[in-house]
Amino acid sequence: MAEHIDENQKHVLEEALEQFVDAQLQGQKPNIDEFVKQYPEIEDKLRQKIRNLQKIDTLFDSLVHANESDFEDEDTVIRNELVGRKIGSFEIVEMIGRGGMGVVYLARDTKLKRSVAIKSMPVELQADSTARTRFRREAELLASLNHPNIAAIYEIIEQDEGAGYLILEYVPGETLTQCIAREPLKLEEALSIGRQVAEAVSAAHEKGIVHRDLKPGNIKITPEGNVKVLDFGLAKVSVDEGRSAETTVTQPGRVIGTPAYMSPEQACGKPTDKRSDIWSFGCVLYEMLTGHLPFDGETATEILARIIEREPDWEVLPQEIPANIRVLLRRCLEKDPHRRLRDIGDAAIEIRETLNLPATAPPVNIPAKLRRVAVIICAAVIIVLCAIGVRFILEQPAQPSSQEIRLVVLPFENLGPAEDGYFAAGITDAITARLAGIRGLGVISPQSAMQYKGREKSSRLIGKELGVDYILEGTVQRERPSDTTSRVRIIPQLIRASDDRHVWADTYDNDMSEVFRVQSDLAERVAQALDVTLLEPERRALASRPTENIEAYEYYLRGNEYSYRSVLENDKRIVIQMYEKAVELDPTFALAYAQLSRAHSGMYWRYYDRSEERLAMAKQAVDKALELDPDLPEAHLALGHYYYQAHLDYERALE
Amino acid sequence: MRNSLTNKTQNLVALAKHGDESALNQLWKVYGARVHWIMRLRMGRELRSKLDSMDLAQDTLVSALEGLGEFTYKNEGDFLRWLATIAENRLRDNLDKLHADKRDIRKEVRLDDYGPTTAGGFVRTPGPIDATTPSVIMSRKEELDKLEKAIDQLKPEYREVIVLTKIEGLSYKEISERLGRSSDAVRKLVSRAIVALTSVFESD
Repeated sequence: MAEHIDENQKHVLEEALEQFVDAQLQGQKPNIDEFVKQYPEIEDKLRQKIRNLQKIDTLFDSLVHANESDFEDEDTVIRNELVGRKIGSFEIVEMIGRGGMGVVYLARDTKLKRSVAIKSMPVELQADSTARTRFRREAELLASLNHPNIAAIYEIIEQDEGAGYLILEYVPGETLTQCIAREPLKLEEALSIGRQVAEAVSAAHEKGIVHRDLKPGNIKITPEGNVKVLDFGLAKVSVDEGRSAETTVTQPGRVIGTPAYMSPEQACGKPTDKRSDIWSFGCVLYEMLTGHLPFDGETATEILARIIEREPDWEVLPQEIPANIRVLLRRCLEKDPHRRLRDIGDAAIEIRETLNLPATAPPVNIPAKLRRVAVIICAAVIIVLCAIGVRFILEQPAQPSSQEIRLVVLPFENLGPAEDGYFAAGITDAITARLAGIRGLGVISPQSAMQYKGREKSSRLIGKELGVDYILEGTVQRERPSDTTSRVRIIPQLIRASDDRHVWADTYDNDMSEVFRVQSDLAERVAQALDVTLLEPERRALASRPTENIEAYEYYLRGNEYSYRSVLENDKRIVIQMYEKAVELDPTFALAYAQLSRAHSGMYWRYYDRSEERLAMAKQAVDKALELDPDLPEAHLALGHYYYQAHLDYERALE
Repeated sequence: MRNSLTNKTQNLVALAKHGDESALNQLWKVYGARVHWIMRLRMGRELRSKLDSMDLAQDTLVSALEGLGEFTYKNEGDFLRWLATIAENRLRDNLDKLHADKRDIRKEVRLDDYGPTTAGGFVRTPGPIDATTPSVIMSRKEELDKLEKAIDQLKPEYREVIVLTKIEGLSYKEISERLGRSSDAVRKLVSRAIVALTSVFESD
């Protein structure tokens, strides 16, 4: 009987509770006291049930909602009062980073309707007026950096209460850290990113700006595949203000950064300069190529010890990595800063040569601009002009003189069979070299012109991207009516970039034996069309013929073609065969000797052949070239290569 | 209070999205155990017995967080449910592959309910996540165990609506749309399920 009552009571209880829940579900908030009073007999039991119901709700609630006390009160998370606020015309959207420099926010520029990144000046610096001056000066320096691979600074906002904000270009996309973590980078990707980073850092170094915190976390890859280096110069401010590397690393609980990319001198707390960036660059390149940090460890102290004492594991470098890149890595990761690679620009050049920009069009991730870079690559041509050698590659001033007419020779299109590609390329090179020899003409290097091969861009755009006034382009066609005769048909056009107007065009249709006359005539006509007066020595130089033997010239051109094509050992050996054949056919062909010497030096430099015989051959060829033509620019360049690549002798290379 | 908490989660999510590892670790500390529990409650005893491993939950979560790139933060509950859904989908997909190489599984996060969240963003996989800090959720372990047992005893229909209302946070109207039943009937079903859960919970 009692059981029956219990059963019955239980049923009533559940019905009552169901009523209660139902009311709640419908959005009512039934008052518990009033509700239970409706059931006087089971009031207490019902109250208990409702309490259990609430307990369950609380449990569920604790599952689906985090609790305030779960969060560590990390200062940067707490210090987020800026989100949702407005600074000038910038509406702060969210926090996107934190580091030694303070907090970084994503913000919306309400005037220009674009996203920007805002960096707030660290609070501890705000009270200090000298620190603020420095902050401002760094911002000004940054503003002077205008480079496609460097995130730009738009504005600096200083408020009365000492707060300072840098308004920076917002770069969407992944950090290099994220890219590396997702999957190993392909060799080409890694090199392409490395090149762009090197160029960014090189541009900064030229302005005297040292990054000091170069690491994958500061390198972003945009969705278009372009590289942007962030935080230039900013690291300096915070480091100088007393947050030395040491404290950054050892302060417990503060995640400011990893010491893994620090140079040995940084790790020891010694003063640092641009060579520290070169070290960090080496670390980044190593990580991209192997997927591992060159110096790793469980703790910061362990990592630092390795940086100072150990060599990276060179064995893990994949087989496919070309020897010159291995050498580059070793030179960047030289512990003694005096023995380290001196100029990050050299790294950019080395990688560019490896990526072989001329032959692969368009390469991965290479933005088609880089006017400044174009000037650097221009080295090859300028060397022809100046006959000085390696120094120019390293220290070519960034801007040509303003009176110069700037011209680019786009690759002449080959209208003949595909196998004549080398010939069209050779004609383009020869014309470029001849034009480069004319004072008053600033000729952009063939390498940067190469990206416009089979161009789809307007003259105006190319003009803007390369910073040139005129564009020379054209077509080349070899015809071989019989085994013994060969004709060449060249149609050049000179175009003014600003309005796409054709300034000059002509058609040359000559026997192959006249190819040099055609080249010099073409160069002279271009000079005339541009109103550049030729000096007598220039005219003589234009009229010069590198060889009287057309067949030797053909071999020479083929050698050039292979030499541009790749850095693979096999191709390099073919290059040598071609030049050897050229000098065999014409033993007075100084230019071919010079190139032959460079090819031998390159074999040694790239670790394909480290024998003394190889060095001797390089020296012998260059001596021969100089004997035949003591003034030949290419011969002096080859000598520079010999001293540098074979003996790492900078001083003599620069002579 | 809840507002500042939302801000914190939102900040951490934003930071983690942009590659900040310590933010990711903190998110795990706050949400890891919760997701683990939510998954347990949702899956029921049978499924749970096959994959009851904190390791797996962690592994799953980390891969879920890799999809943060496209996640748009609305509120803190959303974030947690989003995590739980990813985690659960992943586990379901891979139940029979449990013994296969975890690294391979990692790439197959599918997010049925929340759209293409895996594209684009990526969060670096951190080392072993330090979950030693006791959180509120850890201190409730006994009660949660009890709740889990109670839910297990419910008939499947009840369990489903409990999960939908209490964990997924759906209203009975939303559930009626999802199940294609009248809202009155669903409201009744939900009330009964809750009453049944309360009874089982206290009798334990």
